[in-house]
Amino acid sequence: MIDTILSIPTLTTLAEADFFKRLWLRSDAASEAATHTDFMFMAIWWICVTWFVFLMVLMAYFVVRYRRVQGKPAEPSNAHNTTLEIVWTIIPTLFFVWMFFAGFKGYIAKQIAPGDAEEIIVNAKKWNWTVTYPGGYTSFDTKDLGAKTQPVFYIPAGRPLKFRLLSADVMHAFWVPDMRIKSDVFPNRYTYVWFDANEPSGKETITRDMVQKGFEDLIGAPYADHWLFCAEYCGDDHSEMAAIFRVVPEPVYKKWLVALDKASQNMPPCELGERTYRMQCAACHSVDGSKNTGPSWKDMFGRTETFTDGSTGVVDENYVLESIMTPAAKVVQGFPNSMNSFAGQLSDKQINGLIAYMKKISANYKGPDPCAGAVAPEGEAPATPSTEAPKAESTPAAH
Amino acid sequence: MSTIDTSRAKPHEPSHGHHDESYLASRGSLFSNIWDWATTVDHKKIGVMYLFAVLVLFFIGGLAAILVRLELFEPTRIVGGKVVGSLFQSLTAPEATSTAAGNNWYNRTFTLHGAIMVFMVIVPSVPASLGNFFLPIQIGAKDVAFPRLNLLSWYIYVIGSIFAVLSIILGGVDTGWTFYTPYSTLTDLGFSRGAILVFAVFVLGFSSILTGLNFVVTVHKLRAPGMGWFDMPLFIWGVYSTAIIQVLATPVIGITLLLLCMERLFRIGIFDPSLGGDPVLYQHFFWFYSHPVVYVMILPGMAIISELIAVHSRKRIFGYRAVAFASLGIAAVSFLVWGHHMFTGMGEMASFIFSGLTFLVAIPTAVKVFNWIATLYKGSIAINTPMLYALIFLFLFTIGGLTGLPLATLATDVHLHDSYFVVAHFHYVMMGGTIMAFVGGIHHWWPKMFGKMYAEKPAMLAAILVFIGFNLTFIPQFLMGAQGMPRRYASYVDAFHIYHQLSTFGSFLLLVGFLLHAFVLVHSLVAGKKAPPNPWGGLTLEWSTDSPPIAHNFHHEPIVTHGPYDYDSVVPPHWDPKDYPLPDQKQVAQVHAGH
Repeated sequence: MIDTILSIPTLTTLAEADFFKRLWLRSDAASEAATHTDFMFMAIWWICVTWFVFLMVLMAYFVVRYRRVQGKPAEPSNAHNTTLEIVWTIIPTLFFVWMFFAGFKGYIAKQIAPGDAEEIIVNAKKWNWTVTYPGGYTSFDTKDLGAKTQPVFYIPAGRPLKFRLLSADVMHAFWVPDMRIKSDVFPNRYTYVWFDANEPSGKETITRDMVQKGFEDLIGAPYADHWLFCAEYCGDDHSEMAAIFRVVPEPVYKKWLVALDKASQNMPPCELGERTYRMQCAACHSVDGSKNTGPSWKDMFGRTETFTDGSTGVVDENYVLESIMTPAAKVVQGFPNSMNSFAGQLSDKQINGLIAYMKKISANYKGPDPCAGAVAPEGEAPATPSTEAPKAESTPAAH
Repeated sequence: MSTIDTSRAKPHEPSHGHHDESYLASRGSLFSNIWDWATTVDHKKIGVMYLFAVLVLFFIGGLAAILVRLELFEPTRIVGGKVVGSLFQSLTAPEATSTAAGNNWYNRTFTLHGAIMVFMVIVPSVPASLGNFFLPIQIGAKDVAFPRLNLLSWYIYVIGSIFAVLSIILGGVDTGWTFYTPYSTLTDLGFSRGAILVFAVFVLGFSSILTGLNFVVTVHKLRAPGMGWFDMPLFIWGVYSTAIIQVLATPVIGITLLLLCMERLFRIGIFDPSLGGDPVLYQHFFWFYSHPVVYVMILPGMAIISELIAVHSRKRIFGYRAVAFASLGIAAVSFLVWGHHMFTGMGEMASFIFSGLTFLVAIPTAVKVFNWIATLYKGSIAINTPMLYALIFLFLFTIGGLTGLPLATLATDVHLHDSYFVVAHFHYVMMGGTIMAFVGGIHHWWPKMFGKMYAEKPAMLAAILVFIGFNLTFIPQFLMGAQGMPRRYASYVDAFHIYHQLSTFGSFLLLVGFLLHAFVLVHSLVAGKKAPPNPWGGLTLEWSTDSPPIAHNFHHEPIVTHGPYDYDSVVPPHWDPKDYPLPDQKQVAQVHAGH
């Protein structure tokens, strides 16, 4: 019976009407389940529009036709009509029954992943997303959007992907609007979503300035970008907690994984630090000196900071390590104590990278070039003598 | 044929001095007047005090909404950083001096808007103000069943509101009005204001419970002789259904918020997983109250609409019993649909059940809309501010109801949940429904409450401004929600810029409309014409007494001899049959017999 209703030509034709679909949903559905959702949405919209127009025209007609004329009484009419009342109870009920069952069908299709789906682990934390691929790799790509950069996660088209979601702190929600899927992300249990992304249309291809060194193989491949938003309110930078899923054909995705593997193994500390910063830290810390949720890293390393308890201390390697592991220990004055511990989430290599990166962007750091690496020839060490370096190495005055 | 059969009334009771005067009559010096109002047990004065408090809080909550809209005018931050935020910000978030801390400022502002509008405005709006004033009069009683308890409810409401305002002055709360855990038990831990706001809502709950209890008893025990259950005006049915929900559901939020405070203050693990609790448990508890409370908000609005449409189109409400039972049906089913707030966080089975139950609640709601529109058929429809608001309600509430359908449908809800689509949907129901009915009701009963007429044309102009402004504010929110704009975002991607701008312009228009309304009503108090006892030709009991009513409501105990909507056979009290011609009574008899 449901199939009969679904196949009524006018309803289907109307639901496909392009103008309203663009108006309502803007983007094309990027997976098969999403296409069904769009059909449901537009079918319900047309049912609602029909009812609404019918009721409002009736109301307007009555108001005009039966407007009050001084001295003229209302015409007598029945105050109830059992047949009519039963009919107008049953008709909407039939519509509701269809919406309920068809909606459930589409929902189950979105909930239950096929058995052969590739599992991708997604960790949410205030205020960023981390995606871990099979094999344990993490993406370092970012997309420059002018005012800010957003992390980019490559995913293959044409094969089911199952995302295992977990939060490290409060509740978040994983929403990819183009896929029409959403799931809450809890701190105490895994939740799952899955989708099977459509092949990118080929209108857009990856250009040179979109890829980093070592990823040149990807240039020219078709891609489609889809936003990932946090949809459950999670505090100060809730609205900055976004990322991009970049759908590419599966062979391109495999190339990307290989390049990622290589890049992860021999990345110089400064570069690793910068990439880690963009993925994990950029939501709260700027590198251009502007004030954000946390202090800007520009010129921070080596500077003497005042903490919320009034004590002072120099930002050195130990302070950075302490702030990553136990952020609440010493909070810089003027900033909220809103950072969570990254213990267990960053490798030693990444922390070393972050320290090197902070040194690189600080005028207060006077030591040798942090980006030179162990094998750098001596001649490339900074020319200026580092007279104040010992001060930068000293431990914070307080505690 | 008269409204009130005085021949059967009890002998005139000995006069109690000023009890035959208007309830608004002065008691002498300013101090004695203030003392008189502060200690009054008169349901009318308590109703007026509620009305005043609710309108003041509506203004504060509305200003917060305007600030939210200002912030969203640009995709990046404009308020809270530099442009407008400074004064308000110094009150709400003194530590917010940077652009990023502006997010924090924004979060506090929308929390303020939500908490005030839900707990302090919409929940008490109709029942506590208009309900308090008219429930006893419409059933022919001198007062509610427990007048002192009624005054206590008012003081509890004021104390709760003071605590809420205190939490704002201390720096504001950034949890959202839903206080979701574990965020709400972890944020701003160094400050007590979060706990103060939660405590304020806890206190406000008692006001709600006691008022509900009072109304239930009043309706059961104090109906005038001759008034059976099905002779009650539909306003009473709506407020009565509301009162039942208030009594049964509010204790749950009280317990939940107490547990939340205990977790926050004493780290007792109930909802926070790091203490061994479960955050979803909080959501179940919270929505077990907060979904029924949606009907605490909308049922009284529906109740007002039934009155407005009947009186101003001189018609019996079509299908009176269906409307009355729909109120009770909605009240009953409302307890079983809370899970539809959690479709993205529950198992498939639970989602299946709650989706089905949600569609169930849509049926009586649809039936009510059909009944109201059918009532207009062959009526004598006056176009004035109350009727205009009834029509605005039908327009907006129908949109609100219909947009609930894709949210009840699981496949589409998974996409739309926590988006601006939901924001627009509940504003169409809560504001387009309840607030529009409330404003319509205020105009309808204004002459009765204060004995003054308001200026009709400016009020209608204001209503039209509100209508246009409202749609301009919220229609763009439907569109961007479906396109992927999440809720509670301080900044957003550029694709939604135009929609946010339209929405902000709409909110300015809304503000202008409401300010004009305020001006018209204040003008009426100062310079309005004296109102006759029955300006609209209503048949319910409040129109048979003076405008404003005397302290004891009626000079004699009324005895009800006709139904509340018998416009085709009864000349309203204080009206001349010549000014109010009845249809041919033979024809009327035929129509009724013919059925």
